[in-house]
Amino acid sequence: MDSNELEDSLKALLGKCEIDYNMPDFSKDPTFLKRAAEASEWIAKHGLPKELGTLVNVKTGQEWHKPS
Amino acid sequence: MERYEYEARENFISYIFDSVGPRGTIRKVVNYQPIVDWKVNGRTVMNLHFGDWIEEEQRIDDFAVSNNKDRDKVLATVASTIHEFMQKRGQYPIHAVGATPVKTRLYQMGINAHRAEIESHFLIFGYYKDEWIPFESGRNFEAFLVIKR
Repeated sequence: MDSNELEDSLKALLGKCEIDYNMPDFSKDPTFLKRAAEASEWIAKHGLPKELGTLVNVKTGQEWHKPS
Repeated sequence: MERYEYEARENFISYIFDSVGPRGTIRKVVNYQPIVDWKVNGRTVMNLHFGDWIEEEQRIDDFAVSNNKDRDKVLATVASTIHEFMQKRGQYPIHAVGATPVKTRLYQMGINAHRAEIESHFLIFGYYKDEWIPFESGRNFEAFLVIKR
């Protein structure tokens, strides 16, 4: 794919977006907070693709290793 | 690729759009939540999740099955917010699991439907049989991870 094709496909991927300055702060919504907490537990159990690099637990500073 | 127009909160963390179909207008909310306990290669991982906004109860319902006959358009719109988010907020790894296996399957169908376009900009991994592998059609993945190429 050349640069023009890449730019076209980028435009195709993006939708029409406007900023809503009055939108509620959904990052405090209990459902989204709960799902993020579940995702954290999921990552603790399954890790992430090794291609991304070293996965570290922020609280302990320890590298992730697959639970035995 | 047909998609809905969407609105972003000014921090580009949350997005809303209206699904319009036989069951009426259903407001959808897409949110990118930091998974604060983990960093990969020094980067925070974001959790992509979306659901229906229940105005009467002022809450998100991520179990709802809308049946509004616009599944592909909804999924294409969610895919657009991924790109919007990464353009505005940076190239975070994005983790996604549906609220139910059916919803996770829906994510997979959305990726499949627009795979060529998506993969020209993103690398997609799926969790399958106890390991992360590059996304492939025809496998039932348990989770997805998207990064910018």
